[in-house]
Amino acid sequence: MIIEEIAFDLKDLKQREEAFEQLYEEVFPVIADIVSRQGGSFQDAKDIFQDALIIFYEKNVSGALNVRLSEEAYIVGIAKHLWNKKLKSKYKLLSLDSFEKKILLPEDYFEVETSKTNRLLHLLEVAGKKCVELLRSIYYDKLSLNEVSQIHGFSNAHSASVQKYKCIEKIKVIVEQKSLSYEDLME
Amino acid sequence: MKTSWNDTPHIERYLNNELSEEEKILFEAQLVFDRHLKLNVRLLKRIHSLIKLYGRKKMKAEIEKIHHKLFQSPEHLIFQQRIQQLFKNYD
Repeated sequence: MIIEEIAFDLKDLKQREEAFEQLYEEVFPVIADIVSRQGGSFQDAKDIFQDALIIFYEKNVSGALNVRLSEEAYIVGIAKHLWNKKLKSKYKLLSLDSFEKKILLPEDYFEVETSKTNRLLHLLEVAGKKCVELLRSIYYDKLSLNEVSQIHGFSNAHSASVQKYKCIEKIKVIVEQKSLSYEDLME
Repeated sequence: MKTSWNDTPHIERYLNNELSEEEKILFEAQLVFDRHLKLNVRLLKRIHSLIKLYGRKKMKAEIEKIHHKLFQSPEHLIFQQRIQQLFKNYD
């Protein structure tokens, strides 16, 4: 099976839930097996599998699944990379096949969020939940403006676009106010 | 002219790498001396990364719900035992 044949549309919440549950049942045991053999805990396996699923999702919606692997094999490949990254000892690194080696992890995935960032995000959620949700659909879930209109109840792509830029302006004001200083943004 | 440089859609196209080579060079030249544009670019980048963080948190919550279902509900007992067994073997 090649990656173009994904049966579910992961952009659709309902289908995504089904797909993820199926992947959980099929792929989590594989990851748990690998991680347990390596001396990792259930929690390790859980963290790694869930991160792998998120990274898989991001690659799927941005059309970045360029390696010819089944979705199951792709997730296992991401998980192996994650495990190797987590490992302190270089002796126990998992070996990767040539397809798995081509998988790249997103560089920003491992950034530790500062409490300042978390506070800012919380503030945005409180002050502009609808805007945050709208921008999430556009930036994170990579929905088209037509899809956005349907989900968020706009009459057409144009009004969705207008609202998008209104939201950016609104959030910009909050982010600018809450940034410690002008230099904080300018450096 | 000045307003168009600060146009959010234009900045977004720059951040998404959608500008032509020529547009990109012009944009980056403008960035050097236009502090207002520079600030807007920074703000937009910051918003992008905040929304990504939000998206990841929401996705994590969605997946955690599935985890909870698979590991708590009795209908998935066989699955649960199968996983438990794996970690027992290496304790």
